[in-house]
Amino acid sequence: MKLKSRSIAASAALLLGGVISALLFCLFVGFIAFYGDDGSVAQFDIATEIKRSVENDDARRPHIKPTGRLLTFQRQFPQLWYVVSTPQGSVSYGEVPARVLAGKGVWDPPQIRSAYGVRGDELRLELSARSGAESDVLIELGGAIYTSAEVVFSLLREPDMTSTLLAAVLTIIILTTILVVPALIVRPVRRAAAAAEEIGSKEGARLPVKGQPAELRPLAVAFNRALDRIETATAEQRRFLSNAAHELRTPLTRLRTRLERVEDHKMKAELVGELQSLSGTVTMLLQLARLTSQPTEMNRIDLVTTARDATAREVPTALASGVDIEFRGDMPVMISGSAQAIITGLSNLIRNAIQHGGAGGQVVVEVEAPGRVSVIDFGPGLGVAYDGNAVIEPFARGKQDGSGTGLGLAIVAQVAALHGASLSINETPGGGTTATLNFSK
Amino acid sequence: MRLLVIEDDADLGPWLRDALEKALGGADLVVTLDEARAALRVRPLDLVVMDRRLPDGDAVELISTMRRLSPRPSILVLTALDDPNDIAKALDAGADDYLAKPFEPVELIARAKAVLRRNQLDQKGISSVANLRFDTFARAAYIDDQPLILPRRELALLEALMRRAGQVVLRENLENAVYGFDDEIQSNAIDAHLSRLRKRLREHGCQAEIRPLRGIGYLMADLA
Repeated sequence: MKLKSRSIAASAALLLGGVISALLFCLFVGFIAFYGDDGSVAQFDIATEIKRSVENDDARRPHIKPTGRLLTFQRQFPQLWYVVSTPQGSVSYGEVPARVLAGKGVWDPPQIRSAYGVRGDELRLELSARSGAESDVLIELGGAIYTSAEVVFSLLREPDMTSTLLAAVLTIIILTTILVVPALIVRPVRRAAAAAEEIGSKEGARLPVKGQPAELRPLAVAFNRALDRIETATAEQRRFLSNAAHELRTPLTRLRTRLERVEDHKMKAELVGELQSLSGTVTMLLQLARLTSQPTEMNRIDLVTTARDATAREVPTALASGVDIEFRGDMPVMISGSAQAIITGLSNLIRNAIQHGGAGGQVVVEVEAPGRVSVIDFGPGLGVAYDGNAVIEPFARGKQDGSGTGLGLAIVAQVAALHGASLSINETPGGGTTATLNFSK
Repeated sequence: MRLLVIEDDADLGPWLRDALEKALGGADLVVTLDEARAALRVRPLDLVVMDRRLPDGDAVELISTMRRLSPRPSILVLTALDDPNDIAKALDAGADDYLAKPFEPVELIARAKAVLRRNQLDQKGISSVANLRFDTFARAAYIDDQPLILPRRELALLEALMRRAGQVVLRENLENAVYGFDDEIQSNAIDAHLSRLRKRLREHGCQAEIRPLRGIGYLMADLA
C-alpha cells in the first residue's frame, strides 16, 4: 500500500494564497464601501442599458423598448428618470427635474445625474448637456445610486479595466505564493535530508545544527542524538564481539599447541579434526553475529569482480582438497551491495561446495546478468531444496551426517537478507547442489 | 635467519618460538611491548611474528617503528580478532600478512615463508619456488641455478607469476603484465604463450608448476 504523503509546503502555499486573496478582496470591497457610489457607476450601467433599448422610428425620433435589465433597473430605482434626445425629438421616463427640461445643464447641482453622448457603439460622458451636437443620441439620467454591494455585483457582472487589473494582480500574487512558499519551506528540509543522506554509515558524521532553521533544529538534534545512541551501541557490540573472539580463540589456540604434544598419531589426528571443526564453528558464529549486528555499508560494486575475488580466495582450499574450481562471468555486473559481506557469504557457499563436491570433484562459480551468482557442485547433493523464503535456522543441518553445522547457510541467508537478495538451493541437473544468490530484485 | 616472536601467552609463545626455530632458524621470544622494543634495538631481524593484544598495549603501534628499520623485518600478525576492520588496521599499518587464531602449524610455517619470500623479492628482487628462481632486478630466470632463456612475453608472464608466487594471479593482471597499451590483445594469445612457457619449464626439470584456474587466473605452485 502506498502512503499518501501530505506536503506541508503545498498546504501552506494554498492557505497563504487563499488568505492573501481574501484579504485583497476585503480591501477592495472595503474601498468601495468607504467611497460608495456617487451615482456615476449606477448611471453608467443604466445608460448602457438605455442605449441598447433605444430604437429610432422612420422620422428618426427615438423610442424606448426597454430590455429586461432596464426594466429591472426601473423597478430597483423608483426615483430613476431619463431623457433620450436626438436632433429629431426626445423621449423620457420618470419624473424628469424641471431644470433638466429647461436645458440648464446636468452639472448643476452636481448630484446623481449624468449625461452620455452616444456615438456609434461608444458611450461618452458629456460635460455639457445639450451642447453635444456631435452626438447622435444624448442620454440624460439621474435618481439612481448603487449601494456598495451593488457596485461589487455590477463590477463582477461586467468587469471594467480596474477590476480586470485587480484580478490579474491577484492571480499573480497567488501563483507567486504557490511557487515561492514551498521553495522557502522545502529548501532547508531538502538540504537537511541531503546532509542526512550523506552521513550514510560514516562514523561520527552528524547533521549540522547551527545552520538549520528554528523549526528543523529540534529534529536535527534528535536525529543526532539517535545517531549517538546507535554508534555507542554499535561500538559496544563490536567491542563485545572482539572480546568474545579473543576469549574463544585464545584457548583454542592454546589447545591446538598442546595437541602437538600428543604422541598417539591416530588420537592426535582425531583431536585436531575436532578442534578444527570447533574453530570453524566459532569463526562462523562470529561472522554471523557481525553480519546481524553491524551496519553494512552499501556501494556500487561489480558482482563479477567480487565473486572472482571470493573464488580466488578459496583456491588454496580447493587445491588442498583436490577439487577443480572454475569461475564463469566476464562482463561487469553492477549491483548495490557490500563486497565484504558478499565475499563472506560466497566463501561459505564455495567451502560448502568443496566439502560436498568430494575429492576429484568440480566446483563452478558463475555470475550472470543482471545480478545472479551461483555456486555449483556435482557431488551427491544435499537432498534438500530451498526456495529462498523459509528462515534458515542456525544449526539446522541438511543431512544428519555430522558434517557442517548449518551455520554456513545461515550466514549466506543473512547476507542475502542484508541485500534484499534471494537465496535458493536446488539440485544441479545430473546431480549435485546449486546455490544461487539473486541480487536483481 | 633471525626471528622474533612477540606473544604473551605462556603456552603459545614458547611453542611458536620452537616451531619457527625448527623450520626457519634462530628465534627469540618476548612477552611485552617494552621487551619487543628492546629486542628490535639489539639486532636486525628477518621476521617478526606478533600477537596484537599484549599486557602493555596493542602491538599495532610497533609496526610503524619496524617499517623504518633497515633492513626491514617481515611482519606476520597473529590475531584472535577476526573483525575485517581489525585486520585492515594491521595491514594498513604495514604488516605483511595476518593469520587468524587458531591456526595449523603447517599454515603458520607456510605463511612465514611466504612473507619472507615477498620481503626478499622487495629487497633483493629474488623470488623462488622449488628449484625455480626469478631475479626481478636482472629479469632473469634460473632452474637449479642454470639460466633459462625465454622469449620476451614468456619472461614477462613468468615474472608476473613469480612476483605473486603461491597466490592466484588474475588473468587480466597477466594480460596487463605482458601487453603494453599499444599492443592489440588477442584473447587466446596469452594461453598460447602460457602453454609454451609451461612446456619449457617441464622440459628443464622445473619442480614448480603453473596451475591454470579456469575463469580466475593462474597460480605458481610447488609440485611437491
